Amino acid sequence: MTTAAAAEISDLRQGFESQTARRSELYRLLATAFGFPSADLRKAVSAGEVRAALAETAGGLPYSLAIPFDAPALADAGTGEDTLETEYIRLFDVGAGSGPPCPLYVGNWRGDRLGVMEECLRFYDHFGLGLPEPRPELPDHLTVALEFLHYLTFRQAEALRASAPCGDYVRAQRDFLDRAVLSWFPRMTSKLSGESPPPYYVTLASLALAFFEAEKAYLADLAKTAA
Amino acid sequence: MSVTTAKRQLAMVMDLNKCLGCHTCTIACKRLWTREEGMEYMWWNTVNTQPGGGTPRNWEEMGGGYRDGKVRPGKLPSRKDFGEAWEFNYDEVFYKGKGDSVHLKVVGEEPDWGPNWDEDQGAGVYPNSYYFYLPRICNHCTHPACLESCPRKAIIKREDDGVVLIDEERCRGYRFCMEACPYKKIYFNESTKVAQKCIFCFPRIEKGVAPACARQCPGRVRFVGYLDDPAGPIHKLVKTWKVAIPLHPEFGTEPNVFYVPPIAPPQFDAEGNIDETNPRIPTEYLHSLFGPAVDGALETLKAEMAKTRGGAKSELMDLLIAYKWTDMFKPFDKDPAKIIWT
Repeated sequence: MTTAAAAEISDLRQGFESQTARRSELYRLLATAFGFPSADLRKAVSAGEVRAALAETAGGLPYSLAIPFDAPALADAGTGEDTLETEYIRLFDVGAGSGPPCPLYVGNWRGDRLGVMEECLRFYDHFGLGLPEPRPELPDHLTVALEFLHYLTFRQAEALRASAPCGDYVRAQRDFLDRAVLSWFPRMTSKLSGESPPPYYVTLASLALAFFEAEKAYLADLAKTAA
Repeated sequence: MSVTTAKRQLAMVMDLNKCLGCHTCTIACKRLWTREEGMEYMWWNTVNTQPGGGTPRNWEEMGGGYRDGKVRPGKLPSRKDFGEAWEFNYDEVFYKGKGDSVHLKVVGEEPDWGPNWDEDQGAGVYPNSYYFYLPRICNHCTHPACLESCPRKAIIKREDDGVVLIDEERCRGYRFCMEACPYKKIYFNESTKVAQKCIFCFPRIEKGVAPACARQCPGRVRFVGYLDDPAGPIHKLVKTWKVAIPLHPEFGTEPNVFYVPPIAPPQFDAEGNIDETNPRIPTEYLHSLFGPAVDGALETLKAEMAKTRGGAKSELMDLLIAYKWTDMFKPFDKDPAKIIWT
């Protein structure tokens, strides 16, 4: 899922909406960081660009996270040129024998894969979004779900700036975060730790989990306030 | 094994009694689809001499397909198995004044296999030597092992026509499909790092035009249509007459390319007399290719041939002769020259 949000997010850095813009940006950064480690992503990890972007963005959140976003592991792409790629394929994409141990597809963890994909598509469609062509990932992939949350938070920030109602976006975030992320991500993170993953993915998964849980609590508070 | 979700199935029938091994189909496909970088060695359509090693070399022994309802990984064919796209010393022969002393040859490593290496060799001993041509494309199987084996779900079977396609944006080049396909009709593009294969000319199909390999065939070997269309040639040959049968049905993928098996002339006995009891192509060999269904198909073909020799009319023979080429492709009989391609 792609939006023009990334290019315009700096416009929202002023006032209260800036915290929402940071949340939105963090979803986008995590979507990128969990994507297939292309040469460009690998270089960005090695150069510390991913870590710096995560740390800088996490600094402006409306809550503090227990896990530091500037951990050295986030700049560790391994010793070989294809270390991250090999590990990504082993852990998340193919595995050995009966599939990857930690797939990043919601449906693999929740069961009823087609039903889950349909649910995700209905969420996207409700907010006027479709999958891009070409579509490198299926609708229930973690990165697609995170891009959707990036979009919802971005629209929330826009609404805040315009002093427009943003309850729909908040409710959708809560619902989607629960169904498409927190329903399985903690189990995946726990399983991942037993699969000898590279430090980059251990740390990334831990901080992503901390962020998602903090989001859940924050959104619950927001909903209460709105009520 | 998953069940196909295709509502209809496009299929092709190839009449092996009419294939003259001219490779026009292969070149039609090559010129249309596999001219990009990384595709030099690809021949989505091949015509091999049987018996023979085929393309890729000894593909029938590489495994894949299904066993006990589960995908069985086979051997991953290498570029060498398929045959490299050779470079020749054209420059030296044609432009450097050595045309009288240097002959045209492959530059670099001397090849020991190619996509049509054992053409016209066949088997048997004179005067009972024999061979026939076997054109092959992707079978667009009802149960595609390639699709089932892809961990990325990058292979789809189109709902409206059953054409099997690789989504090159989703493909990451893991090549499980190449291992799983028992017909070994998938290639790997070293430049783009994705798997590629015959697409049943779907952009032509969508405009009502038959695939290039079928449309260009001068021998009128190939019939195209929907398997469930009783008015079309495929249904008549496969379902009604049962003279068109799949290659290696034991692979378990339910291919949708069917073959009219070759009728061999009789052998000569030791005294040089015609021995009508023994066909030149051994029945066991045809069984090994097409399974036991080949017996019934050959019987029907021979009976219908005898009928016409006796002066009677045979609907089957008329269909196979294909007096009008448009009858071979209905409803895909539009003239590509008259289509506006966008």
